[in-house]
Amino acid sequence: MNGHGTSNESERRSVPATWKLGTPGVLLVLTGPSGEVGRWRELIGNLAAVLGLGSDFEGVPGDRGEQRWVDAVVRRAAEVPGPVLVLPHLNEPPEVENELERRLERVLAPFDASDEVSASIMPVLQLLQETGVDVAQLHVTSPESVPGMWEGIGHHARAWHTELRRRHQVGPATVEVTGGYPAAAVATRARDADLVLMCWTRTTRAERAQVVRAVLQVVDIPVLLIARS
Amino acid sequence: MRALPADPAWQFVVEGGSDMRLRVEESWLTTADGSVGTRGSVEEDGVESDPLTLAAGVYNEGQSLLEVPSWATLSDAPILPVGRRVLDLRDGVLWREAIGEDSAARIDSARFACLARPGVGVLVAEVTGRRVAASMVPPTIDAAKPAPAEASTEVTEVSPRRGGNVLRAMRTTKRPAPDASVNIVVRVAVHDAASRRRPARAEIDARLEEAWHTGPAGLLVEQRRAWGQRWERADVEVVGDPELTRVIRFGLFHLMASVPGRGAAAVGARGLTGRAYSGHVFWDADVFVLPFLAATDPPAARAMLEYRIRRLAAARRAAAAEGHTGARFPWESATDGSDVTPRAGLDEHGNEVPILTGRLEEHISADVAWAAWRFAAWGGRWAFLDGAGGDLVVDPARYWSSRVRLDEKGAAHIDGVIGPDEYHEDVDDNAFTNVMASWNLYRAAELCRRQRGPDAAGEADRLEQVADHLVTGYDPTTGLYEQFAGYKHLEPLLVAPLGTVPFAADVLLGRGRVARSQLIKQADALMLHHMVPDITAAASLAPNLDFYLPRTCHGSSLSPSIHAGLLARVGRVEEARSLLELAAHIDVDDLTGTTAGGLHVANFGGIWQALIHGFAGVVVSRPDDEVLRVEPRLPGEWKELRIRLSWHGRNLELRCQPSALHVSTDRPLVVEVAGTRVQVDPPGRWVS
Repeated sequence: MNGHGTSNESERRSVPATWKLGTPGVLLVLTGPSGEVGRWRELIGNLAAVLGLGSDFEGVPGDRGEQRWVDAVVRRAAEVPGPVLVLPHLNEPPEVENELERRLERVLAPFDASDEVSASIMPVLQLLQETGVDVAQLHVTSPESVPGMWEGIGHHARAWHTELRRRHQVGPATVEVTGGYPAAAVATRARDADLVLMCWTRTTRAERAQVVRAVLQVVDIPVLLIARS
Repeated sequence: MRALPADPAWQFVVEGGSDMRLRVEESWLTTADGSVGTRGSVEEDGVESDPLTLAAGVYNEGQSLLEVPSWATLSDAPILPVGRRVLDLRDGVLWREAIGEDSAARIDSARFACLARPGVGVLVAEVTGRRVAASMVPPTIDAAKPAPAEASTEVTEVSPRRGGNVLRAMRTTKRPAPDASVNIVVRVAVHDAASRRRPARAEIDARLEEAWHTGPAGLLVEQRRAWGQRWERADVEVVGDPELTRVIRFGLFHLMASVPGRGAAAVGARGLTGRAYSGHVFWDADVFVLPFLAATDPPAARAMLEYRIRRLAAARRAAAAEGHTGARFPWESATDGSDVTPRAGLDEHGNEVPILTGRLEEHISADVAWAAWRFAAWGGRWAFLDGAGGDLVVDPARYWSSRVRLDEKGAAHIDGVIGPDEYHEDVDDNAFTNVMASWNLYRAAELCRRQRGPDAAGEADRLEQVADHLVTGYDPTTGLYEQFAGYKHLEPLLVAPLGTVPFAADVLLGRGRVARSQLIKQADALMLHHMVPDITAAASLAPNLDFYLPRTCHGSSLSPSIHAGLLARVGRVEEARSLLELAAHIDVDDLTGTTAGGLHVANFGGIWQALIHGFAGVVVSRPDDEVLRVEPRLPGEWKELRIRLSWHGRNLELRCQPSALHVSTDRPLVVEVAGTRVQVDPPGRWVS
């Protein structure tokens, strides 16, 4: 470990102080209008324990699959400086009556390869890893994430991939780099995860948070939103 | 000892340090002596950094540059924030001041790679648990000459089963200062690296004894003298833009530090600053790096050509294997001169895709010939071309003469190649490849006639005949070179509606779409105007710039500098300056996302060429040039462009001003400015 890493060690092992502003020590859990948490109760407990937070629950009105519900979730989440856990829409009864409780064992963490996003999610991922949670990081390439001066395949791409992993990989997490539509890529990988962890800017304008909105609409596991620091 | 230079134009300062940029900073702060380079990792660095030492031209069994653990690591040093680091470009010394967060611990260090003694590294560090100071205080190198009895010596050998060998002997002392508050660490490391032989222990022990006896202070004196002499012949200053001057010097420093002045110099794409590109040698070395050295450090340029001369046999075998005569140089080269280009690689998404450059990017053979000629042209050295260097020109020409296809009308074509613009693969009659081949054939014919007497006249005639019949893609009605056969029929996309440069068109649009469009990655047809303007069509630079520049994405680090030089030549100096700035910031701003793997040393050579041939308007074409042509064109904010270089055995300083030129020289020469020839005698004069 070099000097930088060690100097940040204490910071890495605790949640950011800003989380405790406004809603001290609380993980806000947003659900469907019924407030039903279904099979996610144990996962919520796991997550709150890892983060060292209590949990508050709020139902958000809206119908399953509707953009209106996603917009409402985004607006409410943007008001909260701390982490927000958005449960998949459960305004309808679960299809399987006695579906097993989901525990927090595997987390999918998309990242956009910016320093800010990685710095924001790193402490949370480290806390999760310390409790034995497997972390899979996913980067979906885009013109914004690939340098404009892109020499192409071969040595350049290899050097870029190597450095991308070295900069953004958290502990023993796996790191996958892929192309395509970000929300679709996240939805595909989310089938093998219990939780999606995403960083966002808490900006609610329609043209912003596009990936967060799309992911909220398509994945059927909880999404933890972390504000970019 | 002297304090740090007061002039910020000679300092590259890195404050603080960033987790995300850690390895980028290490590349920036590499110290090297041409033979051995050590990344600028802090003394206590570990797993998140790349504290590497690399030896020029020494590869492992997989033909990647052999990696040696850094000699500058202090395993028992306290872990501190990175602190403030200053690379003194004038002396080649890296300074560091690091203070613990509680101010209880501190490291002040200085290290350098001895330019006067390649392979020798020196580190002096003061490590303290109590000392607190507000300003940067250089370690007391003068007082740090320990008695041999205190020293411990460690020998390291990195010697893979096949491949090169590096042997290092390193002596370290640690002793407390008189008040016991500070530990003074002195280390001298001596490296012997060889690609084929096993370094001799006795020899390296003797070198270590000698360096240790000289001591850090004595070695520092040598260091300052050696770097002073280098800068005396190579400095560039843009008066009126100190920041640009600083970044230019940063690049020149790393260029000079990347090439040994003797033997055979394998100059990899990232020099000695990192492991990216595996240390392989591309056209970057011949076309971008070598001209700077030909004009400022001829022995180093000669060593680069020696690398090619020693691999001529392999290039001849490669040509013969394809049924051709002459020599075909490999696109990527390492130890033995065989082609080491990977056959497949990753795209941006991590998918494996085939790499065709090793098979198809053939212009490298003409580039090697051009480098040999360029070396001779800068120095007025017919003797080089009459001797060993001549084969570097003639053998590739023979390859081209057997490589071409003659059509039914007698026209010669080169099918199935990749030009510098790698967006378009497997194309026919790439203008750059064909015109460079043509230039190569003409120069080889000239050498045949010159060196080899009447018997070679027949070969000279044959080579010229092929050159005469090679299609160039030039259309006199438009003044354009068509980049390759059929290019003009591709989708006429321009960059501006899509984004701003640099622009990863292949990522945004997909490789297939880009291949079907006129978007190009870097200078291709325009590269001719940079390299062989004497055989491009008269007045064709401006129309080709007008056409190709809006289609150029600058996806390659080799692109902006070349365009900057060409734009300056046609008087578009503000656009030229803008692209020069872009080139100058490629590594400083990590524009490729790969500076962590090393610096783009060829870009530094491109920047130098843009300044010399573009802004200063220096024209160098033949060994028997009788005059030095100079025609400065400066942006408005530049008060003066000062350049030191050598030409035909004369050490010169050019002071280019917006409407005046002063030439200083140590021997008489004739300078031509705007068509007027002026005799210049030492020490020099204003010539316009």
